[in-house]
Amino acid sequence: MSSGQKTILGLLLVAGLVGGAYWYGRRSAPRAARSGTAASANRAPEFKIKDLEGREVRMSDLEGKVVLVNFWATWCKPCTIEIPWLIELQKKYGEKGFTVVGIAMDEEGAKVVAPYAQQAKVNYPIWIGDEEVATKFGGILGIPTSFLISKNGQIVERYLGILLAYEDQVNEQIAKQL
Amino acid sequence: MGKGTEIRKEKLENRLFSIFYFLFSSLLVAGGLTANGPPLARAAQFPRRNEPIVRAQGYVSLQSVPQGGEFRVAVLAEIAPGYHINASKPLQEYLIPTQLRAQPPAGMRVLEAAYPKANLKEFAFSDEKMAVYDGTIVLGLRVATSPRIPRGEVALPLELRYQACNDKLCLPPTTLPLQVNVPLVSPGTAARAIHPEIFSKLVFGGKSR
Repeated sequence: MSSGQKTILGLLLVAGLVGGAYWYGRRSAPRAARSGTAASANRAPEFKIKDLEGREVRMSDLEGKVVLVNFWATWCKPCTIEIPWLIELQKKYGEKGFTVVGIAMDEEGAKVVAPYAQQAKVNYPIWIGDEEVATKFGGILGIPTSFLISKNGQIVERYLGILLAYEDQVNEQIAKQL
Repeated sequence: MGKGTEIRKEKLENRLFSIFYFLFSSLLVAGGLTANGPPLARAAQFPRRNEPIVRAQGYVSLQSVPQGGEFRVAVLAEIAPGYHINASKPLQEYLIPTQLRAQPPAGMRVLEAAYPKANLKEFAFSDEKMAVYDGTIVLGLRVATSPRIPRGEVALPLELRYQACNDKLCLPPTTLPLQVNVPLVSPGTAARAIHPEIFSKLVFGGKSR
C-alpha cells in the first residue's frame, strides 16, 4: 500500500468517526425535533379569540406559564382519544405553572364544543380557534397538532399528529420547562 | 520473499483498499440517508396543502334523459392511499358523515341517495371500530325530472362533503364541488344506459348501506 493510499485511508477513518458521531447525534435527538417539524425557538404568536363562555382571551394571558397548545376538534378521533391524557397532564402539572389549552377547530364553535368538553370533563381551558389562529402558528396541516410554549413565550416543540405518541418526550419537556 | 510474491501482496493490498474505499463510501452515503430518512418519511405522512385527498368525477346513467323520466348520478371518488373518510353513517357521535348532495335546478328532484357499504376498521388511534370508506368508492343519487323541464343540457351541481384522516391525524371537513350535465330530450326518446361498470356498483331502493 503506497503512502498516498495510507493517507487517504487515515482521512477516511477520521471522516468515518465524524460522520458516525453526527449520525449518532441525529439518532439520539428528541423525536419531535428530529421529525423536521419542531419549530425553532420562535415566539408564540399573539392572537385574540373566544373561550367557551364567549370571553375574549389572548395568548399573552398565559405568559409566565408553560403552555401546551393543542389544536383539536370534536370530529377528530385521534384528537379526542388523547383528551383523557391531556386531563391527566393538567392534573399532574397544573399547579406547577403549566396549562393545556385546547384550541377547538370546529366550524360550529362553542355550540358543539362546549357540550363535548363538559361530557369529557375537560379540566383545562378550551378556546374556539379559526384559520387565522392556525396560520399564526405557521399553518396547521392536520389535527391534532400541538405546541409546547415556554414560560417566556417561546415555542420549544411542535408535535404533529397524535401527541400520545410523544408521551415520554412531552413529559420530559414539560418538566424541563417548569 | 520473491518479487512475484511482493507483486501479488501489493495487488491484494490495492484490491483490499478498493473494497474498503467502496464499502466505506457506501456506508457514509447510507449513513447520511438514514440520518435524513425518518424526517422525510414522517413528513410524507402529511399532505401538501394543494394535494387533494379525494378526487371525484360525476357521471349520468343515461345518454339522454327523456323529460319526465328518472336518471341516476354516480360519483366515482378515489381516496388517497393511507387515508380514509367517514362513512355516511359513522358509528361514533360527533364524526362528520360523508354526504353526496345536489342543488337540483327547477324541474329536477333528488329521490334518494346511495352510499357504498362501510368498512369497519380499527385504527391505532381508536379504541373502537370505525365505519369508513377508503380506496375507490361509488356514491349515487336517483333523480326525477318534470315533464315540463326544458330540453337541452342542464347542469346539475353536486357537492361531496367528507372529512378525511390517516392513522395519525385528521384534515378539516371538505366540500368538493362537482357537476354533471344532464342531456334532456323529449319524452318517448329511447334512453340508453351508459357507464354500466360504474352504475352496477350502486345499490338504491332502501338497500343503500
